[in-house]
Amino acid sequence: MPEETDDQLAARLRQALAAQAASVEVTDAAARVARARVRAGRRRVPSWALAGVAAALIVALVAGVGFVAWRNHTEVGPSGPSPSASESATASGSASAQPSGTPTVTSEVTPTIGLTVVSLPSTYRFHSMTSDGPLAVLDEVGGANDSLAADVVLVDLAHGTRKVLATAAAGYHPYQPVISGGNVAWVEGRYSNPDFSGPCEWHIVVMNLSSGQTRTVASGVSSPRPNTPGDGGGAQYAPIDLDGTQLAYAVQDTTAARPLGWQIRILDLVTGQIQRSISTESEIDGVGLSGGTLAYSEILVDAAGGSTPPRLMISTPDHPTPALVTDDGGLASFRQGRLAWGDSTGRVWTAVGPSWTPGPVTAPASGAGEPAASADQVSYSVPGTAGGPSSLWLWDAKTGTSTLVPGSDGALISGLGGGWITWAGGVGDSVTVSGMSLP
Amino acid sequence: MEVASIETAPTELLGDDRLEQLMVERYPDLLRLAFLILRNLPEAEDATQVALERAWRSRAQMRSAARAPFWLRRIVVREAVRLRSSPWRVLRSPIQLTEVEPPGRHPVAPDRAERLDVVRAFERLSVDQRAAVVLHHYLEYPIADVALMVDAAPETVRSRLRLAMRRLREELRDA
Repeated sequence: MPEETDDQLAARLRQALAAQAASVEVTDAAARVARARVRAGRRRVPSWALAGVAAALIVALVAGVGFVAWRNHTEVGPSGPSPSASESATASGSASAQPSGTPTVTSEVTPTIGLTVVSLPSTYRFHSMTSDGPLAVLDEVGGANDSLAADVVLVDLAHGTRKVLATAAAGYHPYQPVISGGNVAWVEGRYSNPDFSGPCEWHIVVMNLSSGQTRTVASGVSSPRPNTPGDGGGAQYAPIDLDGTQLAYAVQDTTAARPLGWQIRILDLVTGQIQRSISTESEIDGVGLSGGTLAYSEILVDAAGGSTPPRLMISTPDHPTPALVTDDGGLASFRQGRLAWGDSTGRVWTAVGPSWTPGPVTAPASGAGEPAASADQVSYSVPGTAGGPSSLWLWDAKTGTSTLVPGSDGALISGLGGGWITWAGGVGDSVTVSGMSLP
Repeated sequence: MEVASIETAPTELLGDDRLEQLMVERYPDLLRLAFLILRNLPEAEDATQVALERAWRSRAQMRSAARAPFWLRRIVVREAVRLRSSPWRVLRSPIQLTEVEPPGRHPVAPDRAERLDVVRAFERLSVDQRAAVVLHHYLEYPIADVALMVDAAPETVRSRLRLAMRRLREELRDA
């Protein structure tokens, strides 16, 4: 008997959950809402207290280097030998989890200059971020009205500023901005239906940060696919990555033999020429480009329409035919020749050429994710334990050890490169982008 | 628990009285959503109660009647996930519910035993996976909206859904 497809399984699940939901009887809704309203009123924090907290935060941020020193003092002790892994995690007083199985965990990263924190509106919801030195670019999912936003935001952590870099064309939403070598690229997409269904029309925009000029370098339309995993068959935007003046992007490219196929192209932004193109077997989960080497992850669909974990592939200028790196890895970052990804068990991996042999950064099921790579380092976030905030860790290829990044409570996504580590996240209602220069 | 929950004009602004009325109207929907994620009715009631308090305290951020149902669901989902992650939560024994068929929906119901297998398999998922499955496969929110609700990247949501479906298959195969 053939195995049911994702759609068939989802339909069974819907029926079962509908029956479960219907079995919950509710009789006192008005009383419960009234109680919530009363309790909410009692708990409100007085405005003078909020003002005091805000003032304290401003003082702490202005202190800069002193702020970091203060954190080191309170979290790992003012002097003496570096604490052990357990001491570091315990003494921090926070719920930042030591990533289980990390080979060796030392004390916190010591920045060469102070921690910089830039606040964003509390309604901001991060989707993706990349950084180059102190410059980070982000797109937003959410905002005051919970719709997809239209802005690409640039945060300059050297100067502690943020600004809207560009606003997408009317009706379009920016997606997946990447920054490299003084250029920023992003995809602007628009679904044909307001509920993000139907075909997705997209174009790729590149901005030169020095001149502020933008240009559209590619465009296309993605169609919904039946039986594609995870996204319910919805159309995908074109995944992209940028490395200096080279842009990698993917377009749907189906044949009878590759009904879910895509084609990944490497575009030279100076000459406007396609330098290389790779045909893939299935849907693209992520694309990375570094020094002319292309990495991508694709999701294969089995005969029953079931999904598999993404497989990670590599194509170098010398050996353009794609080679398998791992059959369980969704590409997260490819920078300065280093790959970093997470597998389906919650473990972070890394690899470098020419062998591209995967090496573990964390232990299995550590829960770590959203890694970012640079030549010799990998950053990744670890969910908080006991309901606490997540934290950011930095793995060093030379020592094989991970260190806790100070002040990274609530970090969700990060970026590495140009001698900086940056991250975005927040605790409570705060939404921040932070960063520091690395030794 | 229909998805098309916008029942007021998009430009209508919410006053306190209208918001309270909306909360009362939506309470059953919100409680059932929390229950599906938590699989425990007392915990679902706690999560919904705290979520309503949070919603009321932050009501200044939500003055659009059109977006209010989405906003309320998002707060409930986050509170349910947070509650399950908290070390302070009081462990309670799950209550066995009597299953009834929702009126007028799914005319071809599967066999009850088969359905219970699906429910048992679903209960073995992590709370994050359950939240993603409920929001995407049951409430039929698109990935971008699910990502908003659970405060995670769309790629993360896709990954949770992939893993959840794979585990469901494995559990059902074993069953």
